[in-house]
Amino acid sequence: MPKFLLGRRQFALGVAAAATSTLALPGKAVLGKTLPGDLLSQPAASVDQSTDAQSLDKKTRAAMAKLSPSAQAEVEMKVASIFRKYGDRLSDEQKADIRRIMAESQEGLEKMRAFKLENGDQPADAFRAYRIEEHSGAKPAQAKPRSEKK
Amino acid sequence: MLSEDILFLSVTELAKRIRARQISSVELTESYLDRSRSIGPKLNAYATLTPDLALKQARAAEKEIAAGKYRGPLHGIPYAAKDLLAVKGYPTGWGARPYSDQRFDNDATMIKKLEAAGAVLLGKAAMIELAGGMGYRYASASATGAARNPWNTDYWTCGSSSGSAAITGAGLAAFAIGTETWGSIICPSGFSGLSGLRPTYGRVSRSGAMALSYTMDKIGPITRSADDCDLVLKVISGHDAEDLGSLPEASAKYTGAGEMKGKLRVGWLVNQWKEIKPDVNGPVMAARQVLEKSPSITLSNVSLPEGPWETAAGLVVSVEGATAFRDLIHSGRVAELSDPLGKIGGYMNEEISASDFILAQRIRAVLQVKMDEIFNHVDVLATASLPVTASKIDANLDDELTFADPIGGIGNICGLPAISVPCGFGQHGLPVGIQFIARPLDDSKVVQAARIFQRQTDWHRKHPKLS
Repeated sequence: MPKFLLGRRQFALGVAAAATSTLALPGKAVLGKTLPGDLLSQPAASVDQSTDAQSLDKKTRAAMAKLSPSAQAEVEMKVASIFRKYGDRLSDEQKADIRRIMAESQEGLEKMRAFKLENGDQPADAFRAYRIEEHSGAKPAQAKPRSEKK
Repeated sequence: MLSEDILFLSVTELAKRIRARQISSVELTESYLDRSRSIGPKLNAYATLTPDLALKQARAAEKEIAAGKYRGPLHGIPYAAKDLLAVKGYPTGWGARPYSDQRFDNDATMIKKLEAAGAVLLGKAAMIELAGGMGYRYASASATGAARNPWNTDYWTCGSSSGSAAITGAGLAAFAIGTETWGSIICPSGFSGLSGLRPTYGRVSRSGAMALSYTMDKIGPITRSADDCDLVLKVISGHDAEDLGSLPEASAKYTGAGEMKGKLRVGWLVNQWKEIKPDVNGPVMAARQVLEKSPSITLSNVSLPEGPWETAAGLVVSVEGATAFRDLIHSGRVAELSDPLGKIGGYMNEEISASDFILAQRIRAVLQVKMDEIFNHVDVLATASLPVTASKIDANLDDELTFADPIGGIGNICGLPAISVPCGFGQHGLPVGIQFIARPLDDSKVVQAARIFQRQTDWHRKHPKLS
């Protein structure tokens, strides 16, 4: 957690989701719910009248204002994707919380994407070809789950 | 009932007395069980007690020891295991209401190893729900409530091994097993005045443990001294074919930290914490002086490399957690979790792209090389375990624990071993700790550094007064 939060308590915060491939347009109604629309221009009253909700909305706007237009669009798409899939399970307060966290997370993601890498820089979990005698008997396809439920 | 002084002894001391038959394992077990029943609920320390199993194991240990069959320093020693380790015949609830009735028909490898060493399982330690895998905002993010700090019960022990720290810290067991994906051994040990060891990734089998992050989960001991960490790690380490992250036996098996030959090179981190609270800084600077004056140590200043390490680490945990708990997220049963963030965190984590995940893994590999270079110049890194003392039991952690923690992200994404040991007290009578971090497989060096410190100080011998 770039903030202490991220790693230990709040893995989602500071992480950031990438652009989704959803075709849902911000502001369109999906599953009978209103999608977030433009998070910068959305009036606080449309979220909730409570102080908490207004405070969340203020934080969301502040976080969005720091982002480039493309980053803002990405946040909007991510939020739209979540609401499209799970919106019917979420309260207005939870939606406002999601908007805030996704907006606040984007800056960290942009910084991570700016990190200079060469084409040949391989991922830490590189694939390895498998032969049983080189794996002490552990077979990926046959490895047991951590424990089997009764 | 044995006296409090006995119940707060280190494993090392208890083992000597058990072997010499000055203490009965059965009496010790009964005393810890009594104390666990009376004090445990006040601290929300346990998820489940296992008294029948404990007494059966203690009687067997006592009989064997009387017959001259001594298995080693954990023989007859009572301990607790975090409630994400499967124990046949008992609930393993992962700290989360959706899993409160979950049972497994086999023991985790960790439990089997400790049983083979003759240790006595007193119960399952309370924990943060799903080890914090869906995120959490309050200490109460647990099916069993917020774990209270034995030093001041208005404060938290820290998570996610919150119960493991409460149990060891309150003298309810001789030691406890915790796990760390990011901070869950180091933070509870630091906040609770304990010695907790996060082993090198892959050194301790996770078979039978709840998975949160397949490439970052580690299991380790929370004890009362560095020597105790050494003893427990020797028993629980080793290759396990059932854990695909397990190192080969030659690397995985920990043979212990011998006495130092020559000097240990300690690098004091100068850019880890942006700000350290004054009540923490005092004890930490005093600890630095102890290290500086030690004839066994050469101390220098070291800077961590700059980079998006924490974001990369958080992203790896988020994606792996989202897939580990995919069924829970999709079913909507995350709504049954206690914490408001836990109810929605999984939905957000699912939105992270494969491209960003692989990017984080590539950055991870770059960081591994950078950190290895640092360890060409020092044996261990040292810094405060946390820049603050324990947070209030009802605090919103978004407000209380919002500081950067680069070595936490780096240490966990690179699988580095680390130990936290107590070095004093801050405000409200709350403990302060320092941590040592080393190169992968140099677990012995963090133990040696902590041992040197503990031979010069007695913070690890102090314990809270509880009734």
